[in-house]
Amino acid sequence: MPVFHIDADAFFAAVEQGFNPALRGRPVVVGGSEDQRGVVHTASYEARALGIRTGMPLATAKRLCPAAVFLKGNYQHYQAASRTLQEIYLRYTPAVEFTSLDDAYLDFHGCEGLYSSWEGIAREIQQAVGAALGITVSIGIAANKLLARIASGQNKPAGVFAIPPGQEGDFLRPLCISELPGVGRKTRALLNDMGIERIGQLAKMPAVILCQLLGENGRKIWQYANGRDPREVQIRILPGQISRSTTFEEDLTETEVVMATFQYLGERIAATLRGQQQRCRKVEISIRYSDFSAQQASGTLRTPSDSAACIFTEARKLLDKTHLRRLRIRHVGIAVREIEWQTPQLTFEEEDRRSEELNLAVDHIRERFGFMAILPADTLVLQSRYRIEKNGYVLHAPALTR
Amino acid sequence: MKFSIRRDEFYEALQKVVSVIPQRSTISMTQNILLSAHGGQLELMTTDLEITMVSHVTAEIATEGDIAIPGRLVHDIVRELPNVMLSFSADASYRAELRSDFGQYKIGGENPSDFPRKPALDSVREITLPNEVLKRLIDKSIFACSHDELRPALTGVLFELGENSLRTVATDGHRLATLFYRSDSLPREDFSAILSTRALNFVMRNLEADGVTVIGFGPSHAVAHMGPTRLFARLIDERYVNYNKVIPPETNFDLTVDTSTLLASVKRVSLFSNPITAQVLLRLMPNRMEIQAEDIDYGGEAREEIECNYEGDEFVIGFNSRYLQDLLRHIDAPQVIFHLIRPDFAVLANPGDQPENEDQLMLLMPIRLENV
Repeated sequence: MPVFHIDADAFFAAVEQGFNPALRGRPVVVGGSEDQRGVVHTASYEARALGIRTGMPLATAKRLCPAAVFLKGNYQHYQAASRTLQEIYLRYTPAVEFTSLDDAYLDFHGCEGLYSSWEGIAREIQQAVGAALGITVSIGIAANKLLARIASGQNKPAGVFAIPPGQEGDFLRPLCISELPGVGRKTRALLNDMGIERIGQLAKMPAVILCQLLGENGRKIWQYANGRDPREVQIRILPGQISRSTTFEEDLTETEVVMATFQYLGERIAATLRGQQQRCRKVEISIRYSDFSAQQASGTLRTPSDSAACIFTEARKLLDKTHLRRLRIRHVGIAVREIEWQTPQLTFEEEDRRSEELNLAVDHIRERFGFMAILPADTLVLQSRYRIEKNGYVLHAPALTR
Repeated sequence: MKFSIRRDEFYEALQKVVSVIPQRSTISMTQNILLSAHGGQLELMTTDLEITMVSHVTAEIATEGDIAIPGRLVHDIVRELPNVMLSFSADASYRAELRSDFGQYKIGGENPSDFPRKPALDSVREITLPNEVLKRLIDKSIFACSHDELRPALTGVLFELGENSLRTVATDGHRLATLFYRSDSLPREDFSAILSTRALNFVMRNLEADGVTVIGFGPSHAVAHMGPTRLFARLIDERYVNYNKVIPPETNFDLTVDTSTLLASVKRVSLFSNPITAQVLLRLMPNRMEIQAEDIDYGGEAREEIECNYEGDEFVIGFNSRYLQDLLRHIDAPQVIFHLIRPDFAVLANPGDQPENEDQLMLLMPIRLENV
């Protein structure tokens, strides 16, 4: 049973409680201050007991629990906590795949001889995490990623749940189909209409029918329903996309502010890409208006890039091409796609090398003096709108201010 | 339309054109071969709209005419027949019949007037090259072409005509390969065109060992006359990069080394390099060099030392071993000369000796090294 899935319980809220003992035992909501527009990002277990859920508007949360502590969150703290988690996990196996800051798979293939009991190791990891960060994690132990992930959700918080080999079928059969990855709201409704509610029913169906019904996804779901998962634990994975977006404090029309925001978001994305030694090939912008209608446009870069200037130039080109509606703008975002690893292979092109040296210098400055130490001048208009901290503007949905 | 022909001759002509037929196409007509029987000659034509291939063969023509018939089917049936006389006939509604001693095969054809036209080539500049030279001109450059469809110019080979000379150039941004050829038989005019790698691969495949090939460059297409076969190729209508800018006019150090010794050594050592970066390091020292590679993830490591002729500063330079092997494989001379500047600058490579009317040059960008 060599795959663990480790999921931190109410991670952001738990980290806040770990840092600040005064918050322990109290309902904590991370997402923004109570009078802000926005939604709950993470609620502590105390808050969840009162009915507060992720994705709920902050105002509703406030109504449900006026005594809750509302925090805007600090991404740097969460990142640091995540690094500590990583260090702990790596003591047990070299194959650790983080799918988000608090969510990791550990592959113990080939380590069978080292450990006598998987549950024992799981308890040991929980203790180590508790001692280092004061937070709890739930651990699922099973034969593959899918089963480990479902197992970790069985005994939350601070649980350890193992699916013994050979009992995968018995374990899955009575579970609701929505436990399976790939079964979202629509798929679930479709299957429920056919009288399929439990994974066991799904597993008994011929794969062909699911394929006809749901296409490629159907085959995957059928495999999952039978407890099979061909995905391996990957140590280094490329993200499908990196996106940064923000909702304005007030809907606005000023083009220079929209442009400056795009440029600022582009800087953040490029910094992330470079930090992960990746580059991207596609840029997509999205705009949401005050009536919640949205526009999107995407374009391809001539060569893969990790430079903010390239990403922003493309974003501006896309914005110029887009026929903006005559409405106030509520929300803007940039996403980059087709991400690949940087290669150390040099190219002939002078421009590439100049921009590479420039980016290197920018990264050095930011490493010493913080992200805000150097920024394109056009983003200065944001200064009058947002509070500046060392590591960035405090944008509207602060828990998500990366 | 009616003609008869020996199987071997027909098959040879079919083989030349059949590979142009695209696997998939939105235009179903391109799945056909256009057969035209006129004046004792049978013409076979296929196209994928980028490349058009035409071949000729002598046949006994009873009734002249044209027809478009499914290309692979005709090719496959003729391939399976022994060398007998075949007679081919088609009626006015394009139903065709192939007869042999074994029996008859009926094939549904199509109206030949729907077949895409042969590219019109007016105001053609023609050059004549010995096949062996043309082969070298393509072979010494084409391997460096880019596969990036977003930069179409770099996916082809640049043919640059100068004063009694022709140069082929290919680059993908990491390496560049060029061969310069001088001959009084070449015209005195400046002209350049980019030919796709696909077209050039067809040319290479159809070139006979000796003889000459005439290449005509029109405004949008080029045509290569190779014996009884003609190949029309659409030119890549893009501006080529200014490749001269990246060739350093001066270099600091020269290094001469035995080509096959270095290639063999790089081949062995690179087996131990990280499969993603394929990085090999060359440590240059007076009159010897060390080739090394390591794969930190899997703990493999290899190191070899060979003799070379080098008097410059000691330094370490890293390359993608696949690129380095490509480069060495395209050097025919026993010795290769590298011209170096710095570990992070382009390296030039020439064959140790080459024919007087040729100048082969390759450029390779190294890999960025940290704290070596």
